[in-house]
Amino acid sequence: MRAYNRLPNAQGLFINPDKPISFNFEGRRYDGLEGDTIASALIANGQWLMSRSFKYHRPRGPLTMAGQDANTLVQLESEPNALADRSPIQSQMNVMGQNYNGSLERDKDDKLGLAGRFMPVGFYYRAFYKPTGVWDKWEPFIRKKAGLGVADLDFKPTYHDKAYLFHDVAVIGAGPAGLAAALKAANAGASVLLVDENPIIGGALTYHRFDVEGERAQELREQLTQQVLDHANIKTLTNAICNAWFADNYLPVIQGNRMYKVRAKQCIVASGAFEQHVVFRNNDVPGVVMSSAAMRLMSHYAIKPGNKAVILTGNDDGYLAAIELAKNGVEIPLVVDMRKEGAEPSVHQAVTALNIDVRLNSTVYEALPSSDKKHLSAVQVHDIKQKGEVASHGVKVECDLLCMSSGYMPVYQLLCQGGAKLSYDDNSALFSLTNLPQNCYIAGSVNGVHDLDAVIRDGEVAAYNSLVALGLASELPETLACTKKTNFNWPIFKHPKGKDFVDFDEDLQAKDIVNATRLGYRDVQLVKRFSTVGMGPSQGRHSALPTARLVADATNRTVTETGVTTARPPFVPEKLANIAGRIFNPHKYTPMHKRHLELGAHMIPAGIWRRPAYYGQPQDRDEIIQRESTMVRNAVGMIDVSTLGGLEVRGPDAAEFVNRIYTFAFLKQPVGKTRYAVLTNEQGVVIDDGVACRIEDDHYYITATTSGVDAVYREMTKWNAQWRLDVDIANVTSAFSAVNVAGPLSRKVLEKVCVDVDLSNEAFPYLGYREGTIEGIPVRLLRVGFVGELGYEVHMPSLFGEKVWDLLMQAGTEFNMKPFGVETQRLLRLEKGHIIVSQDTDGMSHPGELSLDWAISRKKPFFIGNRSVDIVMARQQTRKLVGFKLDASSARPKEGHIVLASNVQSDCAITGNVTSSEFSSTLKANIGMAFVGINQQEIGTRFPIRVDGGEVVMAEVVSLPFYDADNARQEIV
Amino acid sequence: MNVYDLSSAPELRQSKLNLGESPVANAAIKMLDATTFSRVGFRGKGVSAFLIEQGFVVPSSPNQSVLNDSGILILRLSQTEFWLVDIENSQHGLIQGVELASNKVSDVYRLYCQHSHSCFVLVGDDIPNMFAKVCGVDLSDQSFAVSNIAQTSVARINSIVVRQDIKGVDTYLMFSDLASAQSLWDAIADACEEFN
Repeated sequence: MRAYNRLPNAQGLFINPDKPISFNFEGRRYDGLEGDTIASALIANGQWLMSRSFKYHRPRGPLTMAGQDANTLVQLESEPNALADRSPIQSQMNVMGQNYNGSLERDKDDKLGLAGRFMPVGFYYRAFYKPTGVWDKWEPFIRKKAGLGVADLDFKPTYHDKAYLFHDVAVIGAGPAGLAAALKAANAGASVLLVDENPIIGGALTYHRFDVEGERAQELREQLTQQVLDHANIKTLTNAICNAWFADNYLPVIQGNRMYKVRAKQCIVASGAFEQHVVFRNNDVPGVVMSSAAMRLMSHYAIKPGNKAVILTGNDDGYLAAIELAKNGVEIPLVVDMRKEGAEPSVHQAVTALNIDVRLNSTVYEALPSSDKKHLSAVQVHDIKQKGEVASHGVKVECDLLCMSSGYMPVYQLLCQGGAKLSYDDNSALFSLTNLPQNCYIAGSVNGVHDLDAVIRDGEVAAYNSLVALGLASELPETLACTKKTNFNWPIFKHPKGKDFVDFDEDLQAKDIVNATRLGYRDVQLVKRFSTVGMGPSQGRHSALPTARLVADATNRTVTETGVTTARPPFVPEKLANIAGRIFNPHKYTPMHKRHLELGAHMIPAGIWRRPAYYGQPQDRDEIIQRESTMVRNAVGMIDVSTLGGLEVRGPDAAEFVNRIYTFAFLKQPVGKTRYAVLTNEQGVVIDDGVACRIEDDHYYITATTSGVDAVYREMTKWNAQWRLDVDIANVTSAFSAVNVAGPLSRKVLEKVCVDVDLSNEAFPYLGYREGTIEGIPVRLLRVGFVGELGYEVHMPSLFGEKVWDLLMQAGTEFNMKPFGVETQRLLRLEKGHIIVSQDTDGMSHPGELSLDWAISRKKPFFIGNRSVDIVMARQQTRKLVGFKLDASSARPKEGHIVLASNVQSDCAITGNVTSSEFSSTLKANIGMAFVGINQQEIGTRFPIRVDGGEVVMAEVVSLPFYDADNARQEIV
Repeated sequence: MNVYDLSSAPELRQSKLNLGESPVANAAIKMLDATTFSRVGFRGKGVSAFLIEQGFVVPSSPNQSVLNDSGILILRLSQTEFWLVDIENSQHGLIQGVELASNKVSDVYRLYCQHSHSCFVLVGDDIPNMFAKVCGVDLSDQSFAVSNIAQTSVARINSIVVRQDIKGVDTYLMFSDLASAQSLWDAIADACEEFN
């Protein structure tokens, strides 16, 4: 630890000097202040080394102090790859460096750079792919060498959520342009959202020196900030990142653990510009920083960034940084200006008045590290001979800080995501953004405007344009021209010994980019993919421009012709937790859900619903199912069928409508009767089934499958939008709950509670429909036989569901009635040979394959899919759904097991699959249904099924149903 | 026996919400389960005239509501769909009477909203901010005025959100699928938490 580098007479804007915080870095305790980032607190303690580079394990320290580079990636306890210059310190937190082998200070791999010539760009693409499979051996080694962070696999998920925000205008960036834009828009009555990634608003006003006197920024910041924070029409989000621009100004803004989904009618992007580095040898040594980073350290954190600083600049901003550093006690031996003409006279004079030497038409050609390689000790300064070339001899200047300022590149990412075009003027080295998305404007330095007055005015102009689009009255401000030239056109000085980094993330040097073009990758997109330039965490914020310049130069094109790589969301790395947010996973319960839990049901999902599979423990599944099945066959049981879909069709054309929708004939269906209803789609495929009850001439109540009812309802409303029949269609699934009381004693149970309906076979025959009450509760009664026993479906309004369940359970006590689950029901209906649509059918199943010919009316002129049904059934058939049987001792097939054409030919065709399978204690055999080849469908045919483990068992086709073929069980008295 | 009368046996209605130690009981946003309060819905070309004949003032356009002096909130959910909600749970007879009167009326189809939907009543200053966490529709004061109705998705559950001034209190009502009521209640309670 070298020193405690806080400026004694300065108040950092981000920190609270009254709240010290201690934390640990690499096992050593450090003291910082509330508001410090890990990086600022470490620098305050003289600790510049924070991480190692990805490839060569070179020592790295902060470059931007703004979270724009990968030099400060550190490991937190539960999070790798955190940016030290973005992550605030917390009391007692433990932070480690990354990308080293051994320790951060003594990295065993820090000599890898010496072997750099053997590891040119793309070397592992070419070195490790032969022989086949060898990459799998190399990959773990390379990954280990790279270091990287460590994911905490024991991490407990934290709470993240999302929220919508709706505003007239969203302003991205709260620098001077953004503040001016927000105020003008808000003053005109617009509701404004102002988003900034920093803890306080102000942008460059919080650290940049805009004038020689150094007064304007603070005055303006205090004035604008106060107005913005006090304005009722402006909502400000700080520490918030707008991470993408999507169509129609849909903006994801991440603030802490929340992602805001912003909907803005107008968007003003005032995102600023990234300061660019200079490419020279060892430009990555800790202590070499952007000028803006040094300014941030002083202004935000009250940190003296060095004792002796050299300024390397291509614009006047470097001079202003020199003044600020000198004012804060930093010795400035030299300002190195890459320009021949130097700075504006007043700025030049202000610097020389501080006894600071200025050297024009020169550059830093090499940074010289200290003996331990961990910090800057001097720079080698050379005259510039011509573009990119320097004189052979230079001077050595000792320093511990080098501030670079070669120019700015607009923060164009959000805009280019929206389709904007980034152009570059090769003469002025300036950028411009055109082809902006609709209802989106730009202001400030992202718009190439850098003079402060012009920036403010640019913000107001953008606000005016937004207000016009919103239809709000406003005056058009007069545009101010910006003559400030900020970008030096060729800040690249390749060194024969290399380590002149273009991309710090990937340790890419100037020669790596040039070599990529020599290998034929002339397009900048191909250079990116081959060299990985711009693919690291900083996503080309600093590498895009020098790469474009180098590629342009190497391929004899302009930078405009070369272009930059595509910007895609997200703007900064975002956590999956932010995207996931608070996961809403709705589920439905029947009114009897609580009773099922009390009775020990094993609940399973049925679409969005939760249903009892059976009542008991999963390990006892088979036994329970047989027991429940036996109960229904021999006495009585009750199942909750509330999840059944329910649809009502009412009106003068109700019968005609139902007749067109379903395959059967319904026009003459008597009132008080139910009828099986099969629904086919326009391709003739069976997509749902149910029971249609005719309550009155103009009133049908129709059940549908649990998972299919919503689609059936949509189909019904869609078709009637064409047919215009006089009906009302209602989805009443949730309005009615239902139970099925089934078994030979079911009538006796129901008789005890439903006294106003004659339940005898004569008065209420099989497939009949009646209405009555149970203790005053209106109920609908359907005599159905889905499970193959005398049974009554009792449908009641849902708020009475539990009450009716309780009454029936009570009534069934003397008959030892118990509930049974959906898996038992599947066995019972299988014994009866009833199909379940979507289990025993698939997306190709037509009525003929399912032996549902009987449910199709050939006399009526139309039903949905009738033409297709005729066609597919007239074709040569390839498969058939059949019932099958195996000995109880045989391995039981499972649903999905495949049916083979042959049991001896190993490469034979697959002819079908098992759709249902269960052991039946009633039949004392394994039974099921399966699609089989058309040649395998005859009763008595034995066909092979491949079951678990590859074993092939032979099943026999039997006629359906397995149980009660003459329906005698429905006539039980 | 008249099974048309779904308003019958109000004392036997049971909302199956497991409220438990609900964090919203004493929270800044208060939420009440009013699922068992009486209500009835109608759809059809003749409903507007039918309700006027029954003495109700109906909203003039869809997605608007009107609260009458008896405490009956009338929702107009489409050109032809209306719900009547007894928001103080004191007008059961009136609701039942209207339901029975609708029987056999041409172009008036009674709906089952009493049993198909849950009903939550929400009161509190931060409700728009709470909705912003669970609903993609702008329900801020500026965009969602008193008497407005939004038929939307709340926490991925189809919901009808109504804003109404009830005795001077800015009140929101939510109607959603009864079977999803527990999911929705839990999601709303969770979203309310930060405003406590």
